[in-house]
Amino acid sequence: MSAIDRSAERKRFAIWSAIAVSAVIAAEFVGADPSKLVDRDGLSNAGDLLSGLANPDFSKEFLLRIGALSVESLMIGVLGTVLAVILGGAIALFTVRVPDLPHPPRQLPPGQRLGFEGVRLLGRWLLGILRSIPEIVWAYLFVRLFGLGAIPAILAIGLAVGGSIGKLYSELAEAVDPRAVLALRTMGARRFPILFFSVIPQVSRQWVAYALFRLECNIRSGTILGVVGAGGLGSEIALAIRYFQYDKLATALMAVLAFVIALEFVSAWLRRSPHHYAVIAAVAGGLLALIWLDLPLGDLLNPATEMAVMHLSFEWDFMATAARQVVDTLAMAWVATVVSAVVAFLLAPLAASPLTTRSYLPDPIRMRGLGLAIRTGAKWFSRAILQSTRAMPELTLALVFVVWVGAGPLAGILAIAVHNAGVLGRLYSDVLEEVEPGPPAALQAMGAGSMGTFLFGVLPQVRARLAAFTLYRFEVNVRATAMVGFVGAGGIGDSLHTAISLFHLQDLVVLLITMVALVTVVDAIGDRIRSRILRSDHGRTQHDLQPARVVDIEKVDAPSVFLPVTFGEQLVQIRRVLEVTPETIIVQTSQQVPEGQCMNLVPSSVSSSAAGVMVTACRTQILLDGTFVYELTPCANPSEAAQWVRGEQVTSWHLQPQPAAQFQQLQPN
Amino acid sequence: MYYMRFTKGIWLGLLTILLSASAWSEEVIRLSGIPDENPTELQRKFQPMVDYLQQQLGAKVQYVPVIDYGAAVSALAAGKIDFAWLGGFTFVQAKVMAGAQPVVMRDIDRKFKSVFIAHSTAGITKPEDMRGKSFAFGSKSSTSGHLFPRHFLITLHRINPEKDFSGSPIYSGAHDATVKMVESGKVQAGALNIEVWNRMLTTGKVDQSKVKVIWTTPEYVDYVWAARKGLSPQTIEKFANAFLSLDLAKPAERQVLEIQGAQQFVRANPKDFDTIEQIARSTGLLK
Repeated sequence: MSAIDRSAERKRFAIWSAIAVSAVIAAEFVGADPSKLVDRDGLSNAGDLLSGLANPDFSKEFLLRIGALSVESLMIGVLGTVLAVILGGAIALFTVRVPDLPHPPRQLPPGQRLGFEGVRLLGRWLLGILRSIPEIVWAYLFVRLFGLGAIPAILAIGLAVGGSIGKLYSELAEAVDPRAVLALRTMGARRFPILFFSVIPQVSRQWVAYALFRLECNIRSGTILGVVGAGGLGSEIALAIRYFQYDKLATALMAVLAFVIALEFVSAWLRRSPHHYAVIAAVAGGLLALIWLDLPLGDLLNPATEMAVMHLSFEWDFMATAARQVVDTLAMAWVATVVSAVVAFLLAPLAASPLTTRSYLPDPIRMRGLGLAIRTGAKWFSRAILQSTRAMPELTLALVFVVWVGAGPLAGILAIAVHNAGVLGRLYSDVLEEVEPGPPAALQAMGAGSMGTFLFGVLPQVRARLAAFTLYRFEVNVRATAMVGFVGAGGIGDSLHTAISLFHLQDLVVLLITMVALVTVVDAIGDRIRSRILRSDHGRTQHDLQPARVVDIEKVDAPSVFLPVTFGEQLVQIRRVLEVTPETIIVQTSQQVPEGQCMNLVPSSVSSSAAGVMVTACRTQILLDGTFVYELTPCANPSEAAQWVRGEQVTSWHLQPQPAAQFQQLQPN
Repeated sequence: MYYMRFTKGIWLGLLTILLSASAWSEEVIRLSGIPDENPTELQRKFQPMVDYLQQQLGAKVQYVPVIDYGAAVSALAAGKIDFAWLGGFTFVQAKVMAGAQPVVMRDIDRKFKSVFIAHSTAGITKPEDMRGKSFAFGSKSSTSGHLFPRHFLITLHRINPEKDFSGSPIYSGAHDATVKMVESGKVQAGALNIEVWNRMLTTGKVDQSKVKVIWTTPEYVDYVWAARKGLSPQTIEKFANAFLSLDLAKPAERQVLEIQGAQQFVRANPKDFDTIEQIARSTGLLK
């Protein structure tokens, strides 16, 4: 081996160049010319937009209408979620694989077993189809079938989100502790009793948490599906843009923004409160929504299926068009992802407290004066940008960019890039805040500045996860591209819109199949690359921190759901000590802790394991940002342990796994 | 047991759905029309007509607004509305899909035209100049804003809309929106319904220093009141007579006609729409 091995460096350089070059080529390929943003037309359009946006229409009747439509959007989101949970949950019951005993005494006859397996595959397949087609496509189809109004929007959200919920629910249910299932198996219980009495009680909290989280996303969708005539604020936005009434557009957009940000607070509160509150709130909200919207539900029994009887025939011409659309869609999603990743990468470190205004050191030299003011300003500036771009749905942004730069792929790319920058920024800064504090603290102790600390202490720990998240968002953006095409922003959505609006059913069928295939293939490939990135990183890091696997956070714009795969013999970083009672210590951590095993709780700054307190952990909650809440019970002298924890002046803690043999001698006292 | 409470909620929800479903039924004649202009304008155009029909037919008449051309077609096809004011192309769609029948049309609909307009600074004086310029149609499903302009561009001017303009053509969604797009310079040229254009001229809604007409198409048949399949002949006849008896001499009826831009209503001839169907198929809009 040579003294300096540069092959890894060269490889990295090649990968980064390839990414940059491919993004430029892709932008060129779809004909996206960024100069349109600032050429004469672009500037005058932007000027029109801004001057309109600066003078929102606050007339009383318009405000009342916007208010009513906002409530309608809210109700659509709530009912859509209820439908999605019912649908997704019901399908999930059939798709969950329930583990069997190693040597089952009694086997089902082969025919029946095949039947069960068939139903399971059918369910998976159905969920896959439901979630690969974006809500807006479903909504437009349902507008055709059931007429305008809230029903198409509710059904659209129900189906598209039902697909995601069903997939995640069955994945969560398959990750339960198999011992409880096997115990029932040995008693001879069958599939459904096992599901209801062993599996669902174990996952019900996670199921409810995910539903709540989707509720937030769905209400956001509810604000925009009206663009195709499906009720809510969207119709007002679409009309305002069609007739260049930017003052009305401004009011409507403000309503969306205020609404979405308020929503984040409400759902953050709901997530913290006991789960049955959330369920009660959802059921009450659903009933209220049914009453408020006064849906003509009779229409559901009487859809306009006439459009389905038109003849189907294949045209090779159109297959070629569809193929070109696929390439366009991929290129648009790629450019948007790369651009937004760059923006997010620059903004995220600014939004992370320990890198700007605080420090990794327990007792740093405090910053003061102008320096602190600038840093605080930068932090809040970047947080505000990330928050507001994240809050705007892609579709709304697409409508605005279509006005600015004209219809075409550029508008779509910009819309997705802006929204995605907000989402990625949030995901990145979450990752940045969760790093192992040792290395950056060491650098800071030696006097390294923020930049040095970030580049050499923080970034090396997280780059694999950043890459995985970015790739993951690319997969989501492929679907989003189909969505923005619906309002004239290029890609496959444009053709889907034409096919639906002109009743070209055979084209629609071809496009939908193409869409499902595209999303499935991209997801499958992305899954493999992601787990490779994470694995390769895993081998390198010293601490052997098992990176979390992203399960399914599609269209997830806020905290994500993680399922840690395994737990090794590793340090568990405690994020926060939530509560210390005489009997227990309640902590929050982003890693999974082996339950019932003795571990040593020590302050992070202390290296000797003798200075801790022995505890056993019991998980009480999984929070939606992927963290866990554990109740730690001290193994001996609980009240003394509690006092000791309280007395320590440190905020950062570790759990150290202990070999059983050391247990006796390490106990306090 | 959260999921138990949850199931209770589901049952309650289902019960409510059933209750509200059974409460739905009332006999009215429901009308709609394709949204070829902005909703306020449509409301203004339809209100006097709804009042007149209500009085003539002796039944409750309800106007159901839609914001999508296709939604009007599928609503008629599904029997959610009884009569719809459709364009020539949307009528053909409704006929092919669900056997809708033509009832009456305005006198002007027999010799309808479209106009091609251009921004005054775009340097366009004749249709051939539009090559290499940006162009806007109305809605994808519009007859006078898309189907016929496309047809005439291809057959008379040898301009292929998908290839010869700068970029793909843009669909503004409605006739007045096309005018606004050209006026603001967002596109250089566009095509729309001549009746809307004339009305916008007379009401001063167009800045004539910025937009000018460059070409007017030959005549063709357009808008028609269509009845859904399965409606009783008596109802259709009553509806037709209400329109046919509209008289310019009577002030109230004069208002209905004037808003529609018509002198009188005439019976629609199903044969008229065969040409449209042919053209729709040849341009690939009807498959």
